[in-house]
Amino acid sequence: MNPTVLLAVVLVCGIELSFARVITANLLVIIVGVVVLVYKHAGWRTYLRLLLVPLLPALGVWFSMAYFAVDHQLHYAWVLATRIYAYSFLGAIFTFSTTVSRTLASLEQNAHLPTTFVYGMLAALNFVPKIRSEVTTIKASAQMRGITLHFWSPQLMFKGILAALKWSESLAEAMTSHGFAENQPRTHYLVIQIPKWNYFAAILTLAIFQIFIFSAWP
Amino acid sequence: MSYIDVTDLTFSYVQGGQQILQDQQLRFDQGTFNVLTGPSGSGKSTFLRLLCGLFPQFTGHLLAGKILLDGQDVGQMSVTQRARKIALLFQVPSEQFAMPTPREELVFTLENLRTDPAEIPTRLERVLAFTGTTQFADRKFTTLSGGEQQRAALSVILALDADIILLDEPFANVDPQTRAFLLKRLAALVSEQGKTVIISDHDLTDYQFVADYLYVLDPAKKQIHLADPAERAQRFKAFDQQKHQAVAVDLPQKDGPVEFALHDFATGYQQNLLSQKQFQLFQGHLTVFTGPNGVGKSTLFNAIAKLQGYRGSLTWHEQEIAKLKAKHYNRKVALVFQNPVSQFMQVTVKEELELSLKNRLANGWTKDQVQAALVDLDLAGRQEQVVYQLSEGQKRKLQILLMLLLGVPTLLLDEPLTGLDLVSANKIMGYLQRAVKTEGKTVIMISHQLTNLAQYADYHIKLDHKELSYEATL
Repeated sequence: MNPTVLLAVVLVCGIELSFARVITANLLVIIVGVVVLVYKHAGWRTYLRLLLVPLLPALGVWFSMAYFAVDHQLHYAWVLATRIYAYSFLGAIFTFSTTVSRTLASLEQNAHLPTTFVYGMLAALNFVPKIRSEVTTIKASAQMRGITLHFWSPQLMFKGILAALKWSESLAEAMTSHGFAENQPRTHYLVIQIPKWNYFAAILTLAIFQIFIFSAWP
Repeated sequence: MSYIDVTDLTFSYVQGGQQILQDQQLRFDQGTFNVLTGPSGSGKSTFLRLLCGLFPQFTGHLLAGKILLDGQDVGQMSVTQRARKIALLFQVPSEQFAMPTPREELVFTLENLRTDPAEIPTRLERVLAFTGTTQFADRKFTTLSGGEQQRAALSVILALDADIILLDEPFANVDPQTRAFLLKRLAALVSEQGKTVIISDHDLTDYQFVADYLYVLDPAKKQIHLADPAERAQRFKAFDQQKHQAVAVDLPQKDGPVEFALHDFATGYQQNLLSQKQFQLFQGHLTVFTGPNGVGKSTLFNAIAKLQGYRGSLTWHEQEIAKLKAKHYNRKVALVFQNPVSQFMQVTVKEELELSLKNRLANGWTKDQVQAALVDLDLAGRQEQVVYQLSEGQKRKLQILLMLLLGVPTLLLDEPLTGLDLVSANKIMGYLQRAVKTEGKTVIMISHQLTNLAQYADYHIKLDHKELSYEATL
């Protein structure tokens, strides 16, 4: 599915979930999430992570609702606990269906997001490994001069920020000299389109979801 | 009217501060190969950035004058117009890419120029083939060597298809073979496609027969002038005499004290760059590493300095390096990074010197020695300057000085002569030699620049085809 359409569907579902008090809607999202993960051949670590990470907050709200709420709302406790899982799976559906660069490209071409924003994000993401190796280098370099830096050391922050500033400047120069101008029209080698069936699928998905949200189901 | 016209150009980084160029008049004709030379830090990079409009767009003040490209004022042109007309290849290879791989960077560039998507694949393949970049077009820039990155950068410049190609010390991190290859390609661009090339370089080797014009930046006058035939001949001759001729160096005595030993050693990010059954590096000598780009010289140094893992065994004085604590080990074995900025911890030159003086080891330098070295290296009077604002050459000299004065017993230097003119390079080598001869230090360095090196070096190690070997010449 086209990333922009998928993002829209996921966002709408997410907003609706936060207002609805329907356990079945939450379960539906979780089941769809599992189906998507199975279809995308996710590793067992993914399932484990999705199961364990939300566990603590889910247990937390369940207990506080079931035992400490004024009128011991057991139903609401289940709503909140499953909702946390539903959100996690909603996120997983999105991240497993697309990649960051594809999403950004789609947002640029389909949602017409400003190119400055899109390429700013893309460049920032490409920086992550660079930043990691820079931190190692800074630490080693400090060690050689007789200082031990920890991750909270202001000097490490200072050097890190300085390096980032320097990079952002040279990056801006490089992008400019490679012909990039803020929000000027560009062509696209990889054209990302929204096929018609995407709209149908999105509307169908949302329609089914509405049935769950507005039904009298628990 | 000529193709590029510079009139009354006066530029300064800070309003009311020191001027870099003063009342500069200059002209370049279309379809010519121009070389701009001058000592490091004199403002060659600044001039090139002015020509392509990056300055004053990004920093500095154009106090007077203007630059016309083909009759159009650079300052008035849009970014896309400028990119089609004039392209710049940067000095530091890793800082000129926004995308993760050469192919993606090329696509990004062509999209910016609003190239018809149907045309992109053919243009892409053409420029990749022209610069010999095809085989690593899909590798990440972070895994490419300096030389490979510069080839990729040249591909991008060619994709821009600009009439004027500026290159700012493009061969600083490039081995002689790649340098000769790229120069030939540039010369072909001038003669076959009528491009105008302006290349700044302090090393004039190999330019004599390709350069149509030689320009010299005189820092005292703050002006660039066209070298007349006599000056041109004299400048090229000076380099010709220094043209590298291999000189005999000693082979190590196998019973000398060993500093580092390798056993069944292998290292490399994706595949093994280096795999070595057995090798020894000796203590108390100045050893020079050479070898083509991307064969793993820096990777080996990083492994020795504990910045990167390895397989097999790598020992320092018979202790396995992987098992040593970085905190103690890196005080005894320190790396002088390829990028000088990586070495800096403070803000001003003075603070950097104070930090090194404070933490120097027992046999470090005295304050007087440091002062004398500052004067000798032309760094005196810059105490209050921010280290990041020094020129590349000045950064390099300061970086090496900071590490030398610490008194570290074993210094690894990754391309310490990059960006230095010959005079400075000789001075630096003099300091390194003294550290070995009189202070008993061990110095191991990587260098592409081989001029005069044999008179300082004790041993020469060549790294090629994944193996190290001692050579009898340098």
